[in-house]
Amino acid sequence: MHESTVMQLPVPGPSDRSAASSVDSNDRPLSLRVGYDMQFDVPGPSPTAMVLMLFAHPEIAGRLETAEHLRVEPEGLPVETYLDPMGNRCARVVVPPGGTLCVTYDNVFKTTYAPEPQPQESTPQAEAGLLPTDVLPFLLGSRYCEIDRLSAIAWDLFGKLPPGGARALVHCHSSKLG
Amino acid sequence: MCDKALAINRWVFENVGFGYRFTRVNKTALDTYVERTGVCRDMMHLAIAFCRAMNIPARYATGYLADIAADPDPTPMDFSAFYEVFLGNRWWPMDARHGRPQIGRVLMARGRDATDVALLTSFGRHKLTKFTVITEPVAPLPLAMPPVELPFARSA
Repeated sequence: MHESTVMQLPVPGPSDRSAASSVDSNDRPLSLRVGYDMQFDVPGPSPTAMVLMLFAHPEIAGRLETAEHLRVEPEGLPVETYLDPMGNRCARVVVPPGGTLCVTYDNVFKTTYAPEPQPQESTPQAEAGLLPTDVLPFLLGSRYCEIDRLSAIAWDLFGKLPPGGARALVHCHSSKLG
Repeated sequence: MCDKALAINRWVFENVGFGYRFTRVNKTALDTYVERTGVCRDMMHLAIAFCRAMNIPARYATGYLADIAADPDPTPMDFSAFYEVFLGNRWWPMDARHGRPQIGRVLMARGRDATDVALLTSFGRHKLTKFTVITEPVAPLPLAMPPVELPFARSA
């Protein structure tokens, strides 16, 4: 990755005034309309319970213009909201047989034109022994991410980056494979 | 050093072709590696698996994404997957489909992989008959939007 640089907007040259004003504009507010319109038919013969993960994440929900509201039809259908173990907001509805569930949502999210922050190449990678413990589950394999099958490939592709740092990690890794 | 995290993001972006016809519900990271095709969800799974294999904590995320810094996309608006890596004592958003930081992302849910954040989990029969997603600036975009460059030179 010697040619790689952390993403930055183009740095304007001294004579490039239009680019300079564009860069300054990154902090300009950006209001985004977000929402959806979905419909589900439930043929029956039994009612169908559904879990919907269709809210803004609680961590950023404070930047919504109005409080979150999931509109459902038929009106009056109970909607039970809760937080799952990962902190995501969910809703459970039970749709009667022969019914049609409509779910709509409309809101405005307040953000800026700034691109997402990116780590620098110098941003350190913590050793597993020093990571916060709540992060450790995200080192493990999961249903769609079979790290047992992909480890050798990953180490072939990326194990030599950066030179010097890789060897210490090999040890950690082989102990994970145990 | 986060060279590995950036290299993984770049590798998946450059080596996995995007296409809705290439995915299926049970497609895994290994499938995506072998087939070199998928949708955003498949690309993130592969990047996440690579990161974890290199001892970089990585988690799956999904949300709205406005079409501002991304390449123009003719397909209907949909939710968009991304992932986060833990480096330097914080989480950073990464996007292996677009290969560059995005503008106008709205996080909806996080998890170990797509299993944890399915927008709908149904316990019984149902049929999806309508699905539209809106993610757009309330006001028109300024004419002089600075381009968000790839964080690396694109390979030929």
